Amino acid sequence: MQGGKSKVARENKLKVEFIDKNTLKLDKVLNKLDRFVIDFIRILEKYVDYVIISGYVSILLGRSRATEDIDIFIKEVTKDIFKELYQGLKNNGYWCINVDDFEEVYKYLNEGIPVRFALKDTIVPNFEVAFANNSSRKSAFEYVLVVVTQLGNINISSIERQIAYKKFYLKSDKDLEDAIHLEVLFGDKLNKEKIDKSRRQIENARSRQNKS
Amino acid sequence: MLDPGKTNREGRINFVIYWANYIKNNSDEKWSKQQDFLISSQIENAQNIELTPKQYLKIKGEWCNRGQI
Repeated sequence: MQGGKSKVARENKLKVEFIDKNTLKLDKVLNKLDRFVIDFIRILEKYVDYVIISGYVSILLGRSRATEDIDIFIKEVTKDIFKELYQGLKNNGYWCINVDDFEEVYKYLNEGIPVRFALKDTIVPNFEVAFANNSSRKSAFEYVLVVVTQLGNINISSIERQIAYKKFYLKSDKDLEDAIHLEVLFGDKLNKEKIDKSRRQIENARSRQNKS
Repeated sequence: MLDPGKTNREGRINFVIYWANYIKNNSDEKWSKQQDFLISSQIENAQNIELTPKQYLKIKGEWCNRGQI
């Protein structure tokens, strides 16, 4: 009898599980937003390294809210590679809602300004894509977590970095709630030193900004 | 037990904690079906909003070089 109960308890336990320190298996029913993200990153990853940050990370991991935009950092690439990526997105039915001209899109990305991509003739949901061309953005690639889903892998920046950015930098009600969600969900699996390291990176970036 | 909280803010945070614990203690299928229902319907509603890129980006305070559209 007791054995039966513990079996049920095991089956009902959260199946968000770390396969190793950089890989998380997530056995959820994928929603429309998850599918939208997976379709987009399947194209993106052919051309460039990417990492998803901010709100969608919490949503992928169960938060009960939607978002109209998904934030993605991509590593800087040459104009030629970016041209291929841009064409690849266009060929698969996406458009940049800021501007059509690829040269202009590339110029803005190089200046650190994000651009938004959506399915052609739609506005939301969209992907806010930025080059990881400053130290703060580059730090998102330091600990990339691969989330394994039923339809493929999704790269997100570490849970600890998400928590630190939401608690110590963004700080809106929504962001603080996202941080609480992740803290409760992962509990003692979180590495406090990594949260502290991200917090220090944020403080240093802020002090550099203030000086300039 | 979900505590409604003394303020709206407190109530929201209590729900976030309640939901995260719900996820931890229920099967992925059970919680994610509910999340699917919520998110997929919100996305469908958002897609029905008729805004031009220029109007949308203006709301966001961002740049748009698409002329009048």
